Amino acid sequence: MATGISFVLFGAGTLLMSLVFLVFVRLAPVSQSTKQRWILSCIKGLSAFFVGFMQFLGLYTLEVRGQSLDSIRGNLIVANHPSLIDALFITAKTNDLCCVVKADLYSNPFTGYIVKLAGYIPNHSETLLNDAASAISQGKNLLIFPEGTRNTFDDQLDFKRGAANVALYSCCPITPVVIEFYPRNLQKGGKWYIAPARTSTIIMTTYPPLANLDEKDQQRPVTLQARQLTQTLRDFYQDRINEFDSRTDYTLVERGYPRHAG
Amino acid sequence: MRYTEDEIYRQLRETMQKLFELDSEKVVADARLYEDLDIDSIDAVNMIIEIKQVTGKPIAAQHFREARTVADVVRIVDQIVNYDA
Repeated sequence: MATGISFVLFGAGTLLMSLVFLVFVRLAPVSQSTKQRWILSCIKGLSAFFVGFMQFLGLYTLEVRGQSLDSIRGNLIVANHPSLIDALFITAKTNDLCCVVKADLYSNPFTGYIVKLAGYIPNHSETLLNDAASAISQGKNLLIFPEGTRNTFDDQLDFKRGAANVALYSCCPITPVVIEFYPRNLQKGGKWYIAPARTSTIIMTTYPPLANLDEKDQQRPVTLQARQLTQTLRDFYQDRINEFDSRTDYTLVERGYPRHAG
Repeated sequence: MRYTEDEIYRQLRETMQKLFELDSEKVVADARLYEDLDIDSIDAVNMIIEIKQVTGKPIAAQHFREARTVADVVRIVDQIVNYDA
């Protein structure tokens, strides 16, 4: 029920925001980049409200740990992707955030107009690297989910190399965010209308930027650096997930593993 | 000068070894770039830049947009180095 309300609210919120921007912002006599900053601020505010609202409805408890995202600029933020609402936790906390998004958000009637106006970057774009570097040089932050889509269980970690390539091309630091979401809910293929037996706990932890590759590794072809950096990222997330194991008592099913896993 | 198909294959294997640390025996005609060799779209662009440098010919990325296998890449390189002005 609470989930249903949230979906409706999200739909209404995005439509309303699209309408406001369509009618008022488009006609405002200010520069395109100012309009874009307005939209990004608006997305931040609405995300924060929505995240708080779902917590209020009892869908989950949310704990935010680690570094503050508030003051960072010109960083590539990466995160694992257990649920539908992951991006919102990050857009709620980060200023001037440009997201790299899946193609289907552009054809979705609720998010389509907003992602275009916000200047988000489609993940299959031929100009991805240039657009990303451009955003970083303007002091914006970028958000990329290296998995490209929601995972089903924690150590799936099927990281694509887009994030590493962007960081290398834009010469920007990578700030890793780790999202723990147990019991799993709103995951890919999940039945959102069936609430899990106990309220989900979400812990979002922001870590300090990853160290750059060694001097000697930076001499290698960029294709190999991207592979190495992606593996480093994977290892980082694997280590954090191993830490979850040692301090949680969730069942395998609550953690998204198939029932027959052993 | 004209390049034979064997020369193009040899050069491509060298390039893929350098850029992706791929063993030569994997670089066969029907090897699929993405599924078999783990070459994604950004890798492909970097590979084209390398081929441009090696052949000294201007090569545009869009020529390779439809390339799915090693054989496709060889065919396109052959067209560019041997036939185009």
